[in-house]
Amino acid sequence: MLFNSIDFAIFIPIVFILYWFVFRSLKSQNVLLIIASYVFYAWWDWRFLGLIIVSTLIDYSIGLAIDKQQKKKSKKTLLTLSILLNLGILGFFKYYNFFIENFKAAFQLFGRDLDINYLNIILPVGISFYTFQTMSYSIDIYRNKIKPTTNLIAFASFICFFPQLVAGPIERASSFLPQVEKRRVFNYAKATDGLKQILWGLFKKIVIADNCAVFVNDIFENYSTYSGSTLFFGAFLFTIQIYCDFSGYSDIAIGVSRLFGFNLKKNFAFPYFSRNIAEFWRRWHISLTTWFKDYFYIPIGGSRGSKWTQLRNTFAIFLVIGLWHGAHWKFVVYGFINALHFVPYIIRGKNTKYTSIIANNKWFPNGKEIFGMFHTFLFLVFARIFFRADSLTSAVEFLSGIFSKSLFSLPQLSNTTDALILLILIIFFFVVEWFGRAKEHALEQVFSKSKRYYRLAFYYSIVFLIFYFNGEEQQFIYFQF
Amino acid sequence: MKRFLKQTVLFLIPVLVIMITMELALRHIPNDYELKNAQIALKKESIKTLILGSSHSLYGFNPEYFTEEAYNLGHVSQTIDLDYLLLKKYIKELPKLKTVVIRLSYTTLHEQLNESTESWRQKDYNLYYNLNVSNKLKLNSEVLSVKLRNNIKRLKNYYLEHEASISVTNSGWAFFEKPHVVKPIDDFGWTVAKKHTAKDNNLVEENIKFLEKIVNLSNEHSVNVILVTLPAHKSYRDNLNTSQLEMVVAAGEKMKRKYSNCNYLNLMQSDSFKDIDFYDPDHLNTNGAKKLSLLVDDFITQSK
Repeated sequence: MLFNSIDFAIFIPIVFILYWFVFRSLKSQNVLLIIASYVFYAWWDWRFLGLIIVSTLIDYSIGLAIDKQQKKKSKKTLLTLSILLNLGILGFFKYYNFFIENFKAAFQLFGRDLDINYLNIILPVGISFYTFQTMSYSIDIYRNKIKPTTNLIAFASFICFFPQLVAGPIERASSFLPQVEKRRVFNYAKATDGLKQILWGLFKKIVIADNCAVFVNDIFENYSTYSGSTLFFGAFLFTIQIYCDFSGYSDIAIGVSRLFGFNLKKNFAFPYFSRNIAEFWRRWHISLTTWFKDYFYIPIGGSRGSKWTQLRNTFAIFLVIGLWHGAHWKFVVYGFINALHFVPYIIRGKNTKYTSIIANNKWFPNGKEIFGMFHTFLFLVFARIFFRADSLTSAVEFLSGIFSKSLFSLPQLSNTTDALILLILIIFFFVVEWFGRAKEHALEQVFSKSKRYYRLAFYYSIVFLIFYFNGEEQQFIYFQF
Repeated sequence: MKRFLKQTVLFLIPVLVIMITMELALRHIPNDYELKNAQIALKKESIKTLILGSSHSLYGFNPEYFTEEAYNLGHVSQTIDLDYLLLKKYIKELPKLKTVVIRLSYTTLHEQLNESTESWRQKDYNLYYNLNVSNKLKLNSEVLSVKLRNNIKRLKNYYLEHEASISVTNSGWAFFEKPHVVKPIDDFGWTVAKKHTAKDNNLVEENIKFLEKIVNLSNEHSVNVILVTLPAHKSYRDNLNTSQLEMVVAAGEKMKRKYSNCNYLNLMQSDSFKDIDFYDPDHLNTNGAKKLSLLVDDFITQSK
């Protein structure tokens, strides 16, 4: 079920009413959440529900077993088992064909043919998200950071909670399980704020991302026929699209959770207002980057040790983040390019600079900040070509297409009026985000202190824009991961 | 909680009222689907030839040039699965029906409306033909299936500017007002051909089954089927994927060999059609439609 579908618009009020008015005890509310989450997931494909249930049972049992063991070695064995099982499932569905392809290529280099066939595997939606969630649970128990829950219903609710099941934010048991195990109380302010966040998420997805997609899909599919300026415009729009698509999803997920009395992890902190690449990665897909930081980067040494160690670890984490996105070399290259951009900052010790928000308590950024934002954004426009292109070869051809004489011509667009309208909407979007950049989400700030009528007029305008630009339901980009 | 529900409902009421009003107003606008459904009911006792298919059929076959009473039931983006559903709906109601003419275009085996970017058009078959092609609420509503900007334009055109909302003649045929598109056809045959070239063959098997169902259903009612690959402009033909085209032609030939009530007419490369007969790379204009209709009518007469 897509957040931007009519099905979801019907599903959510039904679950909301049942949750607050019918299933009033903690246990029954959690059972309802599990049922609703399974229905939500099965709407896409019921066959893969079994995988979620298996993942849930594996880590629920292993979590309890780790806690029972006295010996460190036994605990470690159980943790290894959990990681192997989780990564085994993920690896099979996501990376099997990728590894076979590369093994075959490697063997061919030595003049030998490997006789293994590719499998026709469908990637279950959200597998990368909930697998990481279940793994972090077992690791945290092993590290004595949390105690395992004996409540299977609460644990299952944590794993399958529908707002964040298919595309995050990737929650941690330490922050989410206590919320599942404690009785939720309806909070008016929290719920209305949730609705505002949903509204803004829908705006980002339907108005900005889906309309960018119209141009982006055409330009990336037919890149060989377009001028350099058109290709650059396509890459620029994709940079906007991917942010609005994914952060829009996160906004809706967080907003919906708030309606049910839950607080989810913030996943995006206005990343396009970052002054360098390091700040960008602290603000982009926060739940994933902190996951890799805690469970991969720090265990391999993190920023401890020499500059060389730091650089090695940075490249390692980016290569893994790249691969997490998909079984394709283009994602590895995408990770590598990002790591490469980190190098000068690590060498100069400036990778931890800019931890506060840009132009704090000011209306506008200064010249240095503007330059920082501009160059970070420009870097992302080029780096994301590798993310969006069909293959590594296409990405390189796309890039070389940009750097041609035609870069200085006017872009050739299928519909210039629509492109101009889209640019105006993008400017409006950035203005709203700029004013809300100190808050959890943009609409928490914008018009929140205005008179009721102005506020209402603003919200109705957003609703109007959502309906006005609503087209064919487009799947969220991150569903494929 | 009460306050929250009250405020939310109050906020949503104007939105819902506007949506319901728009839905009613939009359904009130006459459209080709509703009109064809009504017309076919009026002519059901006399129709002898039924034309089905996408825009290629809709613009390409003018029933006025058929010797016997014909009706064009084609629509823009209508795919073979919908052709079958329409035939299934009407075949029992057309006692004099003798021939069904269906286009077998370059895209016919590789597309279905529900899989395409035009899937919103399914609502027209749900709402105006009662075909129940989708249970999705979105596809059973004008407001929910079409972009608001397009719906506002439709409302403005019909209610304020009193523009005609019907684009077909009494025989179900539609024609382009201008003989050609403004742009030279040679310039965009490649673009159209590329757009029509499928990424995979996933739907081929299923669509061939729909073709077979159409022929079998027709056979049960002693109706002949003529599959027609329509003429196309050179700029389009030259840029088609050979294997996709061969698949289509092979399917037509195979159907002809396998079923006694089925014939296949491949006019893709026909010399009879010149530049002046095309509106754009893959659609005939009024001239071209006249030529094609006379040719197909002649074929029907000779086949008897």
